[in-house]
Amino acid sequence: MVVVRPYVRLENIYKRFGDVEALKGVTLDIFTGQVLGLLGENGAGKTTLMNVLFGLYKPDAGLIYVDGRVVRIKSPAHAIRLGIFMVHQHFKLVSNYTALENIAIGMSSGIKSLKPIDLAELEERINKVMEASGLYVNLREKIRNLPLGVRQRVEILKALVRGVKILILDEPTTNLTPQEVDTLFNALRNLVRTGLGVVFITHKLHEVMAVADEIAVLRSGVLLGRFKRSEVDQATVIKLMVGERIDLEKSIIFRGFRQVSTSARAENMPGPELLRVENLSLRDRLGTTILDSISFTLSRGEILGIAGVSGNGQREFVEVIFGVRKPTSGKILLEGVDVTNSSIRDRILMGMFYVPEDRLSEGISPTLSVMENLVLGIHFTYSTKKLLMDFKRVRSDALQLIKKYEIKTPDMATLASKLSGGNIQKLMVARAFHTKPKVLIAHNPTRGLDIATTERVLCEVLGLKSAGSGVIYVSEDLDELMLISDRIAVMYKGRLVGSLTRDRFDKYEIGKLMAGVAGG
Amino acid sequence: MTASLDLATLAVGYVRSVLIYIVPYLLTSLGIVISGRSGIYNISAEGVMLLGASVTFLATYFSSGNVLVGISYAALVGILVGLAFGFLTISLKLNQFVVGTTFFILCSGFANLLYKLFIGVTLTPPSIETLRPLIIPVVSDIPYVGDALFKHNLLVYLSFVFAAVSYYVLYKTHTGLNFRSVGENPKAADTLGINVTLYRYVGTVTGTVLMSVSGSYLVLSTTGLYTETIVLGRGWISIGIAIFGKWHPLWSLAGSALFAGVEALVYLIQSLQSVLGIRTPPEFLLTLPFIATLIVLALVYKRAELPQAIGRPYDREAPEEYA
Amino acid sequence: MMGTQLIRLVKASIPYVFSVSLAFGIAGLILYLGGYDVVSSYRTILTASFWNFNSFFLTLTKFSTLLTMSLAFSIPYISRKFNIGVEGQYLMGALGAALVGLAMSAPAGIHVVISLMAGVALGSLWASLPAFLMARYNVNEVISTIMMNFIARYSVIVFAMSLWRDVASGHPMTIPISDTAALPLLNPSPPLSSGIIFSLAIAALLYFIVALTVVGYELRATGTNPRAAEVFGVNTRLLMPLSLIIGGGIAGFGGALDVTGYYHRLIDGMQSNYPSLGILIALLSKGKITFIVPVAFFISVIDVGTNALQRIERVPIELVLILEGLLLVFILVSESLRWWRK
Repeated sequence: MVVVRPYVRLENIYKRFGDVEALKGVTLDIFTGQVLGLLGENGAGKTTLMNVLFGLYKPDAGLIYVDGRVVRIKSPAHAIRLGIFMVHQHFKLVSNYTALENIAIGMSSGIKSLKPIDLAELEERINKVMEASGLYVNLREKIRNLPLGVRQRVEILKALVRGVKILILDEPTTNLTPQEVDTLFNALRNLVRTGLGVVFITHKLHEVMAVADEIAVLRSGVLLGRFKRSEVDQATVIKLMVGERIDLEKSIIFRGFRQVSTSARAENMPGPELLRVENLSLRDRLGTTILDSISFTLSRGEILGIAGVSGNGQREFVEVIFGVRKPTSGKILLEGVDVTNSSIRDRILMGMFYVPEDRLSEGISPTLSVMENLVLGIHFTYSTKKLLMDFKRVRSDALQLIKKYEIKTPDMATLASKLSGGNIQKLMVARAFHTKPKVLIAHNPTRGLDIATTERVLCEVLGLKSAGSGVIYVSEDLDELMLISDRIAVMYKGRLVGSLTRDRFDKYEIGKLMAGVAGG
Repeated sequence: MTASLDLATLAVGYVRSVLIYIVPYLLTSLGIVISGRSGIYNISAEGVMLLGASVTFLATYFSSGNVLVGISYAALVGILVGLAFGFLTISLKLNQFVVGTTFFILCSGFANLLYKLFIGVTLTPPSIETLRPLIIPVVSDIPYVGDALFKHNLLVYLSFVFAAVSYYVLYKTHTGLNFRSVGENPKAADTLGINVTLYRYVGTVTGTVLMSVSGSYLVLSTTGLYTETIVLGRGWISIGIAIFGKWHPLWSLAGSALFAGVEALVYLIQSLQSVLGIRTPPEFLLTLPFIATLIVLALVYKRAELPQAIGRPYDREAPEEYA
Repeated sequence: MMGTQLIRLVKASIPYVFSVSLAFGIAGLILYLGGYDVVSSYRTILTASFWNFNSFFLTLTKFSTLLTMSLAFSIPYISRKFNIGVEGQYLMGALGAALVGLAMSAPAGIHVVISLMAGVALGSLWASLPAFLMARYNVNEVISTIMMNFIARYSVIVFAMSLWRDVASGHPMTIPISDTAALPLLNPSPPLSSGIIFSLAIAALLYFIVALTVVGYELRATGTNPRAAEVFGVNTRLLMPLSLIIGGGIAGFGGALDVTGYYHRLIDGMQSNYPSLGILIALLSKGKITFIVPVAFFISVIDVGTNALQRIERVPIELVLILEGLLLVFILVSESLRWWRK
């Protein structure tokens, strides 16, 4: 047996952000010719570790070896020169450029780059790579016109064309249909066979079990174990991933791994109609159809899951229902009352609330304090005679919420912009549940949250269901939807297609609908 | 017979004027565009232009009319201002509008301060010799066209050349592709090896040098004097030109021509009025460029297109939007 | 307990002490290079306001103007809109008050009130075109308000040279307004207008609204991220232009106060350097009204001092502008440099 030296060795890496220790002495070897699954919950430090390798962060302590030599990785460009490339969750593409132009950025330097630009040779090379890997892209198309799955391929091609040895993928399946996931996994296996090394970052166990050769588990900045996939069982891995904080017997997320029968949850029949949407359509200024005649009803005590790849109109859908946008045609009836043209405030007063997907640009007002952000939307209910704000009441309610949802903030008067991403998400969720909504519209509410908090959120959502509220839960995470929804419908190109009740949930059927294959 | 001759002379004179007045708008808007394409929104243009004008005047005056010295000093000051502006907005990541407003006030203040310190208050303001026209052989002999187009001073020709060069570099070379990516998605550029900080400094300094030299031109082209009101809003209008020029050098050229045309029109009407003996307060006409700016800005709003990352500081270690 | 609190306070004030010293240091350097006596110049700058009642009342008058000017900038600034147009709004407010004071006749109390109202109205009006362009056509308010500044300056010249022109004066200005339109004096001689009471009252009112009311909360929520506020029901589409119009009204009110209280006529160039100083004050105070009041007072002291210096020693009055600008820059720099925080 030949002992192969790792192409990359991260040795004893420490990284701290402020007073949070993200990485505590992590040592990890990365080999070419294999897929390494880096597994851990959100916040475990997996992305941070790889960002250190990719030159985005400087480690506080520790060494990095590439191809046997110690290196100080000064920048992402340096990492690429060393043969390492990372594809993040949020793609780094210029949307106004074509795919070809995006790949071309940085590929020429010095005096040569003042000559008239000619990308023909580069295009040739990319074509060869596309053939070898099986990942095809229309190079002449602008990024903004390409679906997310294709954009991801552009990112990967960027790496392959530059001849990297190690490709790091951060949660790559986030925006893919089940079928696209299969395509990606196949492509990865092809690439690995030709000698590429892949690091696959994910918080989903079933993914590593499907594609990884080896699994490394990270929790709270510590590497807890590394196994060959064939030699380890799921229970061990889960235990390592979540530690003692989650009671696996009662957990919602890990319900699928328990042998116990899943009818622990009472199968209550949905109640009377709460929300009715009829033929909702939205066209933009240029006449393009964004939402196409959407109709559905939401009953009391029902969780309606909306699946679909991001970019199929989900954002506009939730915005129209909550009143952020006005539809071009159609009706929305809340408890029989026509709210189609009501203001957001009126909808909030009638019991609707919203957890938006984009926490940084829509979730919080950065210039307000944490305390003030917690009542954004219902702030006017804290006023005496509609004029003066009763900050005393705001303060006491905020205190309760911060405690209940474990929002980490030095002080409730701190500006909300200083919170970490996960805590901002907690704030948004806390704010929503605090209003005790009749209808909650949630768009990716658990994004970026660690397992314990995700459990709490899912628990609260189920709690709303028991209390008789209705929830529209829009998510790109099909697994999560399948855990808690009573019904799942799929958004595809602005249309609501298919409506499967719990007893008929099937991942691949839903996947077909997500990809637009009719008759799912 | 006489009437058509007058019309031709009028037209030639008008086109000539447009080419004379276009330079400040062109140079400044190119500066704002280049800066903006790298992601830095620099609204201090009016102040930098005034500073460039003041410095040029003083340097030229005290070097016995050496125009080259004057322009060099202006360029130098432009570099210094650009480095300072860049330091605050790129390295310290301060709000670009706050810095821009402050620099506008500071540069204007320095411009007048320097003039007062060196020249003080005099009964008749001192003046310097203006740039002599550079007559291009052969083409300048073409009737009418030659007078209109080919008898201008060096800076006029250079600014057109510069507009062409910036278009070529920004849109037809690899350097331009890299440069523009810094203003569209700096994270993408950074990841692929582009030194975002360097490119942004280059963009900012190029911008401020252009603004400063644009101010030089104002002093060196028509009157040879320096006054506090020599810029008269052209810096601000140039920002408008960059905006409705979609941050593109050639469209900015068109926009500059438009406003130079308005300015030339104002003087044309004024001279017509004096010929015809009509007397209206001069101020009415002088508001024309400003009203025009408001109208044009409103008209083109549908087609607005900015570099996507403009105005936002870049921090490599900042968390991702959806992390 | 007190010791650590004191140490923390001292540590927190280091950047500000540093900035002030550096700013004054550079200004001092400029004075030196200009051939002026640095020490005596600084003495004049810092003490001129307190030489006698005359200069002190002048300081209060300038304070009144600077206060309204920076408040006018700060209200839109809360929603991150840059109202550089305070100059034009101030001038048009002044013009409105002058118009009422010259063209109308009315009994004493009422005449003043109408003048002031005209000031607010014209100032708001002047800001409403940019506000409309911003709301409807997404036109950047920086440029639109500045365009209005230029138009306002010309309007003032035309007005000052028209029907009520003061022919005796070499500089464009109107004849004095009617006595009935003049603001009552707090002190007859040396004169101190009651305008300062109005300015302080406006400051107090605005503070109350911004910090304690629902509308103030919504304006602050709009802040740097109007999208988030909008998503949760705040009517940002109305609030942002409205804040601009209110800013215009405040600036116009300031102009009217100066016409009815101090100048008693419309003068070309009466805005002097107040708009720039006022904007810098608001930026220095980060838009917080509680900071604006003392900072504005401090700057008026410096302004009076620099003016005195200019009369006595011919030092250019731009000095105060540069001093304030440098102060702002150094404070911004020192706040963002982390190594102060140890």
